[in-house]
Amino acid sequence: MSKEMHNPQLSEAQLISRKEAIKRAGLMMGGFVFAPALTGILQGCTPQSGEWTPVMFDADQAATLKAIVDTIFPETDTPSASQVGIPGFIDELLSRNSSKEDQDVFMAELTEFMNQSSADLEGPFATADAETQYEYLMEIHKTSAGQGETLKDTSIPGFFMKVKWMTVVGYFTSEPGATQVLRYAPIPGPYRGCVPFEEVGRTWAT
Amino acid sequence: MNINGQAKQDMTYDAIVVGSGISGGWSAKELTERGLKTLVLERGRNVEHVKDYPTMNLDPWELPPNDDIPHEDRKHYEKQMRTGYTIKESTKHWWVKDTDQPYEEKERFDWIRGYHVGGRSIMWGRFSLRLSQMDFEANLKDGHGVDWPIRYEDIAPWYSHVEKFAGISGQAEGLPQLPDSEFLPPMELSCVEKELKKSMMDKFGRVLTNPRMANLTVPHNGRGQCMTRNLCSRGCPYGAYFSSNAATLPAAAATGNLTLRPHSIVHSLEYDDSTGKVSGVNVIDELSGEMLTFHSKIVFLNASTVGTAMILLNSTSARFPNGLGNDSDQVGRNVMDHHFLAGADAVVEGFEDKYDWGRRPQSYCIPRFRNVGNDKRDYVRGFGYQGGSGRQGWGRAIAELAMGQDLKDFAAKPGPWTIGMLGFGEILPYEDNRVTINRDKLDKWGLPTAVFDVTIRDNEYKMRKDMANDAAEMLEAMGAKNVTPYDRPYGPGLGIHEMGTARMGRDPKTSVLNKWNQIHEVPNVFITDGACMTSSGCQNPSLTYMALSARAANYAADQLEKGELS
Repeated sequence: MSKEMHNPQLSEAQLISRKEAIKRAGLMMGGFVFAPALTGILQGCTPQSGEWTPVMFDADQAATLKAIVDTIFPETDTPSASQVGIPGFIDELLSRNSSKEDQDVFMAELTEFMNQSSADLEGPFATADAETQYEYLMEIHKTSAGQGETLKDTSIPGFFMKVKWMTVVGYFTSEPGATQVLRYAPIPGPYRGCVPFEEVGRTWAT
Repeated sequence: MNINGQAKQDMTYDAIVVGSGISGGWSAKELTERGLKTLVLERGRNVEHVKDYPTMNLDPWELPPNDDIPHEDRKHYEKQMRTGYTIKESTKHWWVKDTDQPYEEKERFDWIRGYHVGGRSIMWGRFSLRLSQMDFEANLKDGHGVDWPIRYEDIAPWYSHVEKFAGISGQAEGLPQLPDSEFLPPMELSCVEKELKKSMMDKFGRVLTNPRMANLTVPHNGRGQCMTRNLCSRGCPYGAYFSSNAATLPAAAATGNLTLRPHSIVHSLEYDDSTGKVSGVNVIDELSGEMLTFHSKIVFLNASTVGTAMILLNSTSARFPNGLGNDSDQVGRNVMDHHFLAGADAVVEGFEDKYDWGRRPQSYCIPRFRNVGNDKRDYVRGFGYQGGSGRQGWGRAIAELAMGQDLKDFAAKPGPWTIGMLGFGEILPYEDNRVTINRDKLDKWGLPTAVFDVTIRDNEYKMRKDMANDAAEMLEAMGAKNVTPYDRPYGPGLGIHEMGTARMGRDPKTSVLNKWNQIHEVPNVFITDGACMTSSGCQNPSLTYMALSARAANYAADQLEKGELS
């Protein structure tokens, strides 16, 4: 379990596409509506593709959130967090699954993050370049992991871990996350208790 | 269904079964197969096998975030949510809304239940264990509760009977304290479970065995084998685990003798002084609100432990002012469950080149070893363990100090193996562990509501120390790391194994039912759900309900053929 950190190995092309994506933030967030309506579930429908219309966030907040989740999971040979619909996932976790109190706390923390990062980066976090975003969040992550002091007296390290939790859960319960990064077997067949790891190859999604 | 204007003859059957869950399904199957025209009354909606399992094939990304229900709906499930696993978007339609079905708790009692055809046989844990002679003799030997009126040899053929139909997978071990079932091939153990098994036998002489469960490992009686999706509680498209819906109710329907009536809430049983028997079952039609009375020669109460007690207590007459069959004042008493949430977890080093394939839907099994043979503890009875193992999954990526491709790579590599065991302990039958009915607080159908006053006590608390410490000791002995024993707060009912509210016994003064599960004073009423249990053992009880239901139903049919009971 390596605790060592590395810079993200992003190609020039990936960085460009990420910048392009950031410019579009708030207008179109990845072409994926994550959760179907309840009636759809009970009828066994699958989610429909379409644009995400934020419930909780204005355009700047949505752009900030998208930039954070895409720093956690950028597009590499597998999709980015926003490409699998994580901003919409977080929006629904908050607006549908959470209490008003939890929603208010999250929104206040998001505001604190936006204000703090704007001051620190001399401009909105969402429009910073990918490497800057990574370095900035990694310092915060170190604080939340007990390995740093950055912003330790603010809500921001806790806020980051909340977003990371949501991002990881959303990403690995999405179809691309479960099937491209992890291994997913909807119908495994007979249980085998002890097989060579190579037969599976990656962590099971479920 | 046309109810109005039905003549009494149209509302008369040979037998009425109240409830369609795991025991009611068996009563219905056996009675109909014996040629009896049988009405099954189910208080909830109909659920047809496969057709009415709306979430059975949904992938994680077809469900709302985290499979959570909307926050605004949580207020409806305040008690049903106490398990932590019951109320998910994919399963919430199987559980009652507490706001519709209120009850009172003098002490915390988790009454976790679902009202629909099939009852909890759809959502049950499927662990299937026989009681042993030791369990049937326990009350007599240590003086707690009353003596069971039957012994292992009375029920053993009926265990075989139901197992051959239901399909129970497992490994024969020849243990007196946990008799073998008629097993289908067992589901495998994982690499680390095999290590633990070997270590436990070498160092303690204790057995760890494969899951004993009502999941099919081979096709069986027209049902498909388990595909190890581990989505059982959504309903199984293969019918690969036993439920009333997949197995007993279709068999009953195939006889042509079954009438299944959903939306039928039983209000009470009508006692006829002139015959000394129950002559009718009073039903509230859930949809119309109309009160109807159905008639039959015999009645099987399979309304679940608490539901059955509430029907008896609400069935008052001049002869039975305190409730039907309640001369002993034992109806509603001796509420038992299995206490759990004590055990230990650990990490196992090695086996990093190994993984498991599939999602085995049940735990390995460690049969009881305390107070067995020469072992003597400072408490009576004992506990068994259920346990599982697996490699740590992608969830560990949350805390990992990483982002980007590094984090994807980290998540794609499984973590170390972990293993755990969770004790399930016997609760003694305490007379003052009691459910009563409150006639001053009525539900929306005008029926009295339940009041629980149930606690666990010294014997259970002493046992829990062993449940945690023995688990930790056995995990240490196999060389596991980070061994963490735990004993978390347990609320009675949380095991969802309610038992004992109309116990079987030898003496009508101290028990409700005789050795054939008949009410002592009302011989045409049989009770074969968990209410009948005289002691709880530490084994998951459903298999025993199945066997007692089949046994009593065939006895009742025999008696009717001899001209008795009618």
